Amino acid sequence: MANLEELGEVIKTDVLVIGGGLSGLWAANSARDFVENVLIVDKGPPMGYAGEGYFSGGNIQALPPGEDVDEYVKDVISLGDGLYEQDLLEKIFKQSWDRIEDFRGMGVEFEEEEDGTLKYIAQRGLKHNACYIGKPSGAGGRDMMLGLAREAKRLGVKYLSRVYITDLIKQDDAVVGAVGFNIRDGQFYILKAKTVILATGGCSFRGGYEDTHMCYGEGIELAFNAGAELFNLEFVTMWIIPTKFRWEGVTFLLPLGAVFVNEQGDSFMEKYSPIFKSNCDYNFIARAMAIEAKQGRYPFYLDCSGMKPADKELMTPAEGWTALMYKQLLEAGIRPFEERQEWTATPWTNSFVHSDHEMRTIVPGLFVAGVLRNVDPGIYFGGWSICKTAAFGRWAGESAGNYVKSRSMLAKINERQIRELKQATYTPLGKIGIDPEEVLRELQSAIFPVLILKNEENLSRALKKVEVMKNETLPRAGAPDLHRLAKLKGIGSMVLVAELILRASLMRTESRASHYREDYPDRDDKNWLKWIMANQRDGKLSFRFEPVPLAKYKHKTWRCYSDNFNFLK
Amino acid sequence: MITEINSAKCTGCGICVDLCNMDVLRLDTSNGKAYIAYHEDCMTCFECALSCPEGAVEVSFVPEFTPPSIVFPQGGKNNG
Repeated sequence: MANLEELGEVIKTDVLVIGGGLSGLWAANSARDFVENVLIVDKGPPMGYAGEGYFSGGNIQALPPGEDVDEYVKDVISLGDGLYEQDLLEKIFKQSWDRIEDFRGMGVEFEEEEDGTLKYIAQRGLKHNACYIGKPSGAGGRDMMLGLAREAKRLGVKYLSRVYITDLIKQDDAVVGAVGFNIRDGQFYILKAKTVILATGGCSFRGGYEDTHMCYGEGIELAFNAGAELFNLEFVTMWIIPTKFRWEGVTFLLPLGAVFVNEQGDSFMEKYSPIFKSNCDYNFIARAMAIEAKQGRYPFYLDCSGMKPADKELMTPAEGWTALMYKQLLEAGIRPFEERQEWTATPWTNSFVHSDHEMRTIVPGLFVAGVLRNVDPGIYFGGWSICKTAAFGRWAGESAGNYVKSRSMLAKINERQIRELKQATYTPLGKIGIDPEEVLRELQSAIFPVLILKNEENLSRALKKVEVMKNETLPRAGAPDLHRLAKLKGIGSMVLVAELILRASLMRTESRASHYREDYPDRDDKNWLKWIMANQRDGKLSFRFEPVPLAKYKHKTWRCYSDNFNFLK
Repeated sequence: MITEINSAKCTGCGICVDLCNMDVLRLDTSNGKAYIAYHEDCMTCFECALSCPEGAVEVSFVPEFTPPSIVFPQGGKNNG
């Protein structure tokens, strides 16, 4: 196909992994057990340095040896008010300890108890929950990434950095590759693959939690455009952050005694949940903050004075970026463990792609790994992402590897299709128009005020704004250079994700897990123990409902976490 | 946010440009030194400061830009 080569650089591979973060590396390494050629493509830096996991503390959820998996699964089901694939949770927990052993084999360290067993801290006030603690404090994610990258290099995994993927290529309904461009030299790439694994993380709308700033949601758009199903769109996950600096590891500060207080020093969370107080899921903290603020009571502070000295020491950043930042804070007279600091809420990285439990989407040849595969109705607990990225990455690599066995040849790619995609990709380049940063801020202003306290009126209003952005603002935006061209594409993904979140939020006329409707504040198990599934058919958005298959599940009843909160007082 | 690349110290080795997740940094082809090309996209990850062999990069813990508040009511005290 000489013509194809005239359009851009053509690279052939068995398995193409889009995204070089934790799950992408797990997926690539796992796929190498089955196939010779595995290529990772990432819009960011070289192997080992891409994605949000690098900046995390490296804390990981796992089922402690000898513990009953059912108890751990049941506590997570309660956290999500029952809206869970129970068998998937069990599958994740059952292999979780092995991933800790894998990481230790790569030289990654975890905090230990005096007797040499690994130390863990239960999350969100749950009884059966174990988040193991990355070591050194504040740099565990870096060590995990570099360990996985060493393994990938040993296995001969290939890597293409700074290439932004704009479209998946389909042939006869199957995904057979992807196209994109280098954000520095503009080179167009045509990546021909027998199968594609999406491992791009979620969408943070570039909120205040800066670890997630590279999470533009492009993988959600790629999956959606290819025909994959999305779900749990109405369940956005909120995060809590300091307003004046960055922080990693609040997930341990709360169970170790840190509390949220208002200006007067009152622990306002006690009013909303006498049982959990501040040690609860962040979405409930964000909701309490929003309600307090609406009544004029803000700002909010995190007070660590109740923590034991040994715990403060354990949580003091020891290495990497957190340690450098901590040193600066002390130099500036900011002492996070000694004086209360102002905190607020922000969207975390959210994703909504659905797959089966072997990570297959409904689109042949398209697999999904990492946090891009949604599991939770918005709730979160420390270490869960790193646990899921390891599980899903390995499973996706294995499934994609097996899929390749049935595809002996690379598909022939339609040259005209590639030509059209290329033309569309570069259309905004050099165009005079609205700056992508301006579009981003407009989007944030439209949706941030309606993500926590939702009602029909504010959701509809935000949806109208987002539709205007999609139909009028985005087409008028310009990209003076390649960097901004990639950014504009990413913001296009964000706009799509925002629209889908708002539409699904309008549909769910109840409150459950992270989804809170002021006009429907109660949980409605009779009508809403079901998922809203969305996908694109013949270019049109379509929704369907999928009931939670309780008849086939092990756990018929559960406690509901949200029963421990009252937001109506 | 990144505040400065000291051009007297910068040797143009390109490590910071290579490692930046957000593509904030580029090499100036005229003088061979790194510069801040897209300040607004800095995620305050400190990777450039940590990786610079010459200590030429300064990053401050103060965030570059504060997104619109998700919690505080409009017109109220922002989180900046």
